[in-house]
Amino acid sequence: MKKENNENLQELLAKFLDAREASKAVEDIFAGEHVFNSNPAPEPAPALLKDIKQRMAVAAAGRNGLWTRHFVWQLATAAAAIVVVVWAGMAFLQKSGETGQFNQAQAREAFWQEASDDNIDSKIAQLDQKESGTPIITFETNAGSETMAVSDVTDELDEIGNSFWEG
Amino acid sequence: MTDNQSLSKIIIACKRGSHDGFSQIVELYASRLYGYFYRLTGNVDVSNDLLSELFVRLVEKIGAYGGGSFDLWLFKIATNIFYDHLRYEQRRKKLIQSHKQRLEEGLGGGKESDGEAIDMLQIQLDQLDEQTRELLILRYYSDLSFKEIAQMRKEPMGTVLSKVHRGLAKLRELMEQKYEERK
Repeated sequence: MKKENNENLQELLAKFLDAREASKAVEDIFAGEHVFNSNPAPEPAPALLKDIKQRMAVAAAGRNGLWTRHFVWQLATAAAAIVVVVWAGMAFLQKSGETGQFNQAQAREAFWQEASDDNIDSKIAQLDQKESGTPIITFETNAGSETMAVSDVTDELDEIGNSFWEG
Repeated sequence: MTDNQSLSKIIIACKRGSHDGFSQIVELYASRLYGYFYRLTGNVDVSNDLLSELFVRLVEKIGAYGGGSFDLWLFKIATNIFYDHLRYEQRRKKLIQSHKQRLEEGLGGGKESDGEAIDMLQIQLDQLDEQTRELLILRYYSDLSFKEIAQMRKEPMGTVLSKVHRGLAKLRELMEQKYEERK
């Protein structure tokens, strides 16, 4: 069975051909299509159509199940991703706090482990310097380690330099 | 024939996975689509397979149908299925050999072979070049407008009109020659 495709062949062909040629072309086209009408193709067997409908029912059932599974899987994946991100974030924050505290405690312990009777004064001076922000130098002498403010050291060096040339 | 409104309702039912909807689509289109495949391949068994494949694919793809000419959409799928079938080199060679054999048998008077019912139209269609043959078969069985066919084949409408006109004129001439010979 053919449906009307609402097409005006004469009008269509007139865009490309003159009126006489367009009419002839329309006749030719209808005559050619009549050849198909007069020699119909075989019809599909009823058993084939029944089989096709059954296959379609199976495919439709599978498609509906697949869509549901697909949706549930996507939802589960999204939820898992959110949980992982939140957990990772929390773990990271927690560890940063602990590490900071741990490093400070470790540094303090190491600092005082190095302290002895010989260098206790310089250790105290270092601590003072850290608190005051005054730059200091710690250097070894025959008498042991000595800590001095940088400004004091430069003053001493100037003095040495001035007195050196006095001979 | 089903009007556009009824067809829209059937399509909506199909999108919901309705078995009745799909059955109605089969009833509406099986004859034209089968004719399309049969005229392209000239083989009943291949046409049966292609028709089955088409309707199963329709179930899978119906969700993607977004409106417009349903016939155009359906025949695009049919054409793609036919070309997929052709791509198998072995089958293509068999098809060409089968056409040649039919042609030789047809020129000698025509007879059935390998379960195929050989008709005069099929023999004469085989004498046309592949492009023209496919175009004429598409035009007749899809009943698409020239505008739709041009859109589907990505060709200018004037080109499609010209090819169909020339192709049908040639086909008619071949058929008339055959009838004359048989008299």
